[in-house]
Amino acid sequence: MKGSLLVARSEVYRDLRSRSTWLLTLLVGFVPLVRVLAWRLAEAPERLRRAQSGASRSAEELAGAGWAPLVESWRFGLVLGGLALLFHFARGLAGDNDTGVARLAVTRSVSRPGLVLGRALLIVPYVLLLALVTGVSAWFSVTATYELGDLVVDGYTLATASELRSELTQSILVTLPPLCCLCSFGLLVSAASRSAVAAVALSASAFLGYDLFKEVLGRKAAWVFASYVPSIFDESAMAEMVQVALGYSDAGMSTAARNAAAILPWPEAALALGVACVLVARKRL
Amino acid sequence: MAAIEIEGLRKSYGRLEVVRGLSLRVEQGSVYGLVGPNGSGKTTTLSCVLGLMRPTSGSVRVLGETPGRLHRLGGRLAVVFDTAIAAPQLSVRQNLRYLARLNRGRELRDEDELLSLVGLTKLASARASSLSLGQRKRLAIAGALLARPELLVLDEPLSGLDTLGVRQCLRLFRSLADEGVTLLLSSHRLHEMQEIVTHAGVLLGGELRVNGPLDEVLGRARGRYRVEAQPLDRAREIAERTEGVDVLPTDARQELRLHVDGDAAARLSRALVEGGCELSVLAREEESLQTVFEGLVDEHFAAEARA
Repeated sequence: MKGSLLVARSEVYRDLRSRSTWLLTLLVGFVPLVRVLAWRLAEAPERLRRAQSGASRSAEELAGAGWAPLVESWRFGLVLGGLALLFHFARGLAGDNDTGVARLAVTRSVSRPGLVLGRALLIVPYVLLLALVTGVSAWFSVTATYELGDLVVDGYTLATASELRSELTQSILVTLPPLCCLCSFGLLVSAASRSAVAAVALSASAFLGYDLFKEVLGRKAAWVFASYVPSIFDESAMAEMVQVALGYSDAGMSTAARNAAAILPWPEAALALGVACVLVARKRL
Repeated sequence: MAAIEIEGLRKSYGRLEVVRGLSLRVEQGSVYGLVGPNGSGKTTTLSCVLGLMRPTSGSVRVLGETPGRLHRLGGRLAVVFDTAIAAPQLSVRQNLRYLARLNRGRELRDEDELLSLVGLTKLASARASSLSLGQRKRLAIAGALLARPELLVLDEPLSGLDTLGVRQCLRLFRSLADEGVTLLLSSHRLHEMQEIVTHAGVLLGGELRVNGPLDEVLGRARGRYRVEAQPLDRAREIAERTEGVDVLPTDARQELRLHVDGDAAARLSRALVEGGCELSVLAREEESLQTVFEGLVDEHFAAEARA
């Protein structure tokens, strides 16, 4: 365990001092801002049309107009940030094998499984950091131009602000476990690959490929953690939450799907890490 | 006590056997040079010793631990493999700090002292990715010395270095040996290796052909002569007939390689001249690792040709 902590500590040191990490964090932080701007631009014709016809939205309707761009921009940040984390964890072990650092570590003070577990210790903090960075960025971007009051459509209050807050909290909470599992999957790919480039390419093609073809799996897709990760063809809790915030749905994600998204990724992540440990233990470094 | 004990080590890639029953001991405080040409199995041997790959058979102990548990040595062992640097995107100093975080429970050397030791003080803030090959190698060595290891294993530490870099490294290895650090070095730079090693082993075709203290190893070159004479076939016949002279196998077409006992050289010289040979060179070869190595290579190829 001590070896794993040493790996985690040294990885944090390397990440904190790497320009690419800061650049990527900045980029992921900007994504929600850009999405909010795009949302605002997309609304412009509708606003113009309403202004011309004299049928502008009521103050009550405007009070809850910020929820949809908030959730959508946050979701967008999580999509790109999730991919960035996947690539980061996929690159790690394989990259260290490329450069020879893995050799230094295992002859110094870290067992081979420790190389995997040390990185695995960083998964939860990094995912939380991603949620925080994208969430804060989305919140600041949205509150600069929108309000986050009750959701009112055609004079009907569909949801109060506190209900939406609670729903959003639940949605983000069930989105984090799949993201953690995605990082574990990245580690597994990294353990199985001989080079960093191959690991990143393989993880990208596997994840994006699954996203494209998950519909083919039908109900079986519910057993795969990747079905709950924010993605391009998104079926995650955050995607459902966007529908709620737009007033198109009042239910959000079903309880069964929500439970699956919250629980299923953990054993799958543990399995991925276990297999990664076995692969690294047998790997030629 | 042995720092490294290898017994009957074998490693195969499919049907190709790269290391064939290698056994050796590296005593604590010694500087052991494992020499051999490219592809002779040096790196594979070191990889098996360090637990980086599994041997097909045989046993290895490094400071009393098996290769799979070397992490338990906690910094008593350090390794320099290729030009491994921790993070190309970090500076030289940050690379050392990164490696320092991978050590547990051992007193670490001062960064500045280390940088000065390997001659990288002026480059402390430079990005590791901008270093030359030789500078990277020196950084890797600095990283290895961080936790004051008892045993330092270096794979081809001199390859890619310029003359100055080689001299600096040799001086560094000598001072480490003086401090009592056990060194195991693999290299094909025989001349430089001879300057620092106390023990040597020559690997050829995956077999350890010679192994022992340097004096003993160099003893194999004792009495080796080189002869250039015309006609060469006649000279060979005479040499074969001369008492105390053995004709050694060689690939060289313009000369003979001989093992000559005591005063047989004078007899041979006379016999060659009296036998009508035009003798241009009869020279004793230098007692060096290079000579030992060349002799072994000649024997190796001769054995292969016979097979």
